[in-house]
Amino acid sequence: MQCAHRRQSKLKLVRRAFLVAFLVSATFSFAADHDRMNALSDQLMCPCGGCNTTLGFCPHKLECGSGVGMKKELAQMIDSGMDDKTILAAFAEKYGKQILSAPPATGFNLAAWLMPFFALGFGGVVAVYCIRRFSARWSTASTNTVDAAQYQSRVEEELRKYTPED
Amino acid sequence: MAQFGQFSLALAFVVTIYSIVASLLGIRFKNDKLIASGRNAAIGTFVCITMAILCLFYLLMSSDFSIQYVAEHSNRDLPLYFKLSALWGGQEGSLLLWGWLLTIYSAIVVIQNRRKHTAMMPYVTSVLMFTSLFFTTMHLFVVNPFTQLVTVQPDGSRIAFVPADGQGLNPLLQYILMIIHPPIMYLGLVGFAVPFAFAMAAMMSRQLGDTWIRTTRRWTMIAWFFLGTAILLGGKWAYVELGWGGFWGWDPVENASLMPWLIGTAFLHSVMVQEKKGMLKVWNMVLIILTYIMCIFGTFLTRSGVVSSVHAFAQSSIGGYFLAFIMIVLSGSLYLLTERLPDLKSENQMESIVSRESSFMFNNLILLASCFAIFWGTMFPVISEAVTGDKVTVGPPFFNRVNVPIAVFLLFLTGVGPLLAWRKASTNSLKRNFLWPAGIALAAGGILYFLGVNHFYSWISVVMSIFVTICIGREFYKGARARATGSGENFVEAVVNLTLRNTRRYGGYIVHFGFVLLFIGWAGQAFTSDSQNEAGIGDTFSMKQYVLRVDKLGVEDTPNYKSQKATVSLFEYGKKVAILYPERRVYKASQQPTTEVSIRSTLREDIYLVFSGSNPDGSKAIFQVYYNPLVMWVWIGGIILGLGTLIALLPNKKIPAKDSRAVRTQEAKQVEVGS
Repeated sequence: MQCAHRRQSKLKLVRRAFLVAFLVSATFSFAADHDRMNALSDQLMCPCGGCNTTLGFCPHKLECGSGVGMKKELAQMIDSGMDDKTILAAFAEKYGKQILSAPPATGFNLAAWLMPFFALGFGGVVAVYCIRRFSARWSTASTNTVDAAQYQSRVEEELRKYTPED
Repeated sequence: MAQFGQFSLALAFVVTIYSIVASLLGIRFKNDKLIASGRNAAIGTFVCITMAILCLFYLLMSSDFSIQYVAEHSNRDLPLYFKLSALWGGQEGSLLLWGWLLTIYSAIVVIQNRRKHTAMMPYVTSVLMFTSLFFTTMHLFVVNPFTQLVTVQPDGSRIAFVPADGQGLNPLLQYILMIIHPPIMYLGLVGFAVPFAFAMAAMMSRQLGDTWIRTTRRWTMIAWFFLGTAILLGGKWAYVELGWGGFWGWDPVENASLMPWLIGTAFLHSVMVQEKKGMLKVWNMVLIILTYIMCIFGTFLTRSGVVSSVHAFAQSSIGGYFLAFIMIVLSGSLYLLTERLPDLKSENQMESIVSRESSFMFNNLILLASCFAIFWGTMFPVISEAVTGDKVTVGPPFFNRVNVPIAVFLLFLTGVGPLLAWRKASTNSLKRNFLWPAGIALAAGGILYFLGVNHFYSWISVVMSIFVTICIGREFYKGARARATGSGENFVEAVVNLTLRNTRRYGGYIVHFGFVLLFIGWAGQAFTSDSQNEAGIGDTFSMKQYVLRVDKLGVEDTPNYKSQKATVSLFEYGKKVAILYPERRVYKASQQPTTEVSIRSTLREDIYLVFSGSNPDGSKAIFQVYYNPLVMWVWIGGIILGLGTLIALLPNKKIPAKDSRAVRTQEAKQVEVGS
């Protein structure tokens, strides 16, 4: 009797645990879906043509017929268990590549992503090269010792700080 | 009145050409009377364009719909103040405003310098009037604001047509900040024509010292101030009027204004190196040429239809003219630069990679890289289509991913750069200046991480912001303490006098602090959230710690628009903190719907409520609610940035000799103690 009671209470506990687990996972999956929806909405352009912004940010809200339709489409894809990559590929196939809010990092489009950093790196190398070259030329031409240079820089710094005119 | 406007434009065209020719002939024949005549003609151009713009204003005010521009950009029921903004609400009017502001600047420059820089000024007049000639040509022959409205008959003949009412002003422009935003934007864009003209004049007249830089320093700062203010006002407009919950969307029009501002910022820093050390002369020329080109390019971008934009002007044929003008200016200025290269040699050389000069170089590099990234992203759809035939979109995710790391590094330099010594910073001075700020910032970063700020870029932005703020604060503290001890002033007085005694330096620090606050505001954008809710009267919905209750739904009918309006009470932790009034309007003339958002702003966050419409059966309203942390910091940062610029524009205050001696004695003691 006692054993059956214990088994029943154990079963109840397991059932409760399952219920809690289900509710928690449902809540989290809802939140995750909401976050995924937002994240994917930012990776797609609104197709209305009038706002020139992402699906998530379209200012026309409910007036934007095409945007609302696309959001429904996106929600259905998420519900059907498609992963992000497949969803984006499906939209690109249906609406064309320009529906993606950033160019895919493949082929010529890779240039879009790399060029700014390439330019920054190149500029940085040129700047460092120029400074080193000039400073090398300066140090060979100059007879100042390191201590003198330090002293000079300090004097300059203090003059800069404490003189009335900058 | 339209004929008078047309006549004014024609007269301006002739007078502008005369001004250029007279100035150049005056230089050629060393004839002062011709030079003075060219100068007076530049003032004459201003008078003519002013008459033209007044005519257009009168036509708008009197609702003269026989004029195409008036019929397309206003209507009878448009409030008077929006009729003023209709003056620049369309292509023709806004270009006329561009041209008019340029003539104002030109007139001020020639009057201000009529007895100064005699070798340079005739060239300055010519360059300014050359730009003015381009715009006057556009007004007169390409985008004439005084064109009569006509209908084409079946037999091909054209007859004048006067509609009963106009099409109205674009509803998105019917916002109070839009009355001041375009003129401020153009004051910025046009303003860079002045330092550009002086740079060109310096090269033409071989006056390649730093006279042109010293003469145009304030002009550059004024242009930079206006452009920055306009960018922020544009952001405020987008935030309040577009209803998408953000203030910056990397739209091509926004990018078009940001690019010259970034290079202008680089120029403002770089000229200091030329002033102090006689270095970077070629670089400064390149920067001002690029800044000016980017101002024209921005105008081209928004008007040519090359890239699509949410708030660009309609596609038109003027893009080609702008492109041609850009090519002429670019090739002319680069030719001049290469010709004068031997005369632009540096007077000094860089001594160390850790010095103020090199930090300015890196600051320039970062600003230019950021500008290039924006330019590249904005133009990439066009480039990609030309190369591969594929249309791609480059939207906000691209710009955020590319620019945020660059901007964080720029923030770092904002703190470090001004504290490095000229020529070479010693290890000791680096330790002295940066050890404590870096330590405190990292400790604060650790605390923030444990408090849940774990979005990397937001975290690093806040850590950098703390670091820069401490660096700036220490500079004020050290200077004010030295002053207070020497002069007997209290600390606040000492801070004020210190700032006023060296406005450029301390105004610059205030600008940097404004920049820090802007960054804090941006960092908050990583934590936004939003939700869409259907609600009837009495229904509630929540967002984070807030609950919103719909109290009233109503309609309003004005001569200009019809609107659906909601009254929504906002509760925070159960306590009513605000009443919000979001609206959804439909403008009668254009039948265009707009959202009028209602915002509750605090230092911590904004609750941003949009009335999106009604559900399909019309029983409930649909609200989009956004939780936007720290947005107010962006506006406060912008105000401080502007304030700092205004302080930097002030002349240095001279302190009385007696006080000056006392302060210097104390400062000398400080130095001894410090050593």
